[in-house]
Amino acid sequence: MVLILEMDLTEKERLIARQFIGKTPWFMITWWAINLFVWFSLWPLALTGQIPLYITFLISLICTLLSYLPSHEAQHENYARKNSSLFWFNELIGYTSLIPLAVPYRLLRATHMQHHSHTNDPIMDPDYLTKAKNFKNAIWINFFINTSGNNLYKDFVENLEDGQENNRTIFESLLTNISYWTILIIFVWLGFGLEVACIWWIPRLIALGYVRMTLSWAPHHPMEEKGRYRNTRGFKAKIGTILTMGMEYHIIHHLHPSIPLNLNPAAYRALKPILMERNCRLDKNL
Amino acid sequence: MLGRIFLYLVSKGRIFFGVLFLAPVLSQFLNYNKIENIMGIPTLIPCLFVGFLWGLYATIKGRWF
Repeated sequence: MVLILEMDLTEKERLIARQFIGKTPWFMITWWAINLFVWFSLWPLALTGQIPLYITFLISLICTLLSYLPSHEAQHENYARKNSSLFWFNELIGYTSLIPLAVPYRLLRATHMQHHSHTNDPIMDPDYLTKAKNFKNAIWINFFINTSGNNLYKDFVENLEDGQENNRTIFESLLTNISYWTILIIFVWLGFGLEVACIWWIPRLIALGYVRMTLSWAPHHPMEEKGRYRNTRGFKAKIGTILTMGMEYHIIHHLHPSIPLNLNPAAYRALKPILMERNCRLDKNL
Repeated sequence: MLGRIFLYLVSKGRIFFGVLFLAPVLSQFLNYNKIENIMGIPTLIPCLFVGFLWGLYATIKGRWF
């Protein structure tokens, strides 16, 4: 009897989730295109002094904050699957949307897949480093300790086994880091130090902390439980859905990563009775 | 091999960062605020000194603050 009920619930969840899967995520594609266009436009405008530095900084900060999520969809092949003829487009968005953040796409994809497989595991989950006791502590750890330590998935890289795929991951990480710093240093010594600091250095530092807070820390806090229905939570944030970058509904993403980000709220509302029956963590009456 | 190069650069990167990036940015920030010299010395020289020392501190301590 229990088994039948369990199967029934699983089937219901699958059927509801399927309604949100498989459509082309135009919203995320538009997001990627506009965001990247605006960010690249800042370079000539700032370097030729056509916009003041503080405006440059503010616009770049917004663009950099918004640059991770289109790539996140690509990590889950939500634009096109590996066997599709449009997979190149998936990869194009994956790689290019991360340019403002200057982080390696392949490494992020590898660590993100491991995060999904081992969420909240102190050793196996690469995002476990973002764990904190409370909000204040999370700010300190994610904005200062993790950024200052410059240890983006250092342990993960150290433990990668030798192999073609892993070597490519390391190579691309190396290339991303070297390219980023070479470009910055060239511009600085050409006399554009403040401009590149406002476009690509300070916004990146802030955005990396913010992404860690909203995507890794907040939806998994306190990172103590494991299991499909307990390792991630739905939560009502004081700053709202937009400023949490949709992560109030992160539980939907963990259950069904193929649902595009912009459909997570609708999917959450449709799945809520099942989530409640599954005793999921739905905090603060979302 | 690649992994080792990556980790080496990460471990020594802070001194490079301090000298090659932080120092000139700091100097240009002072120039932007109309400070061209510090005790008669062009701002870049003391900034290079600060950048190197801060990078060295960060390398030894493992973090910047």
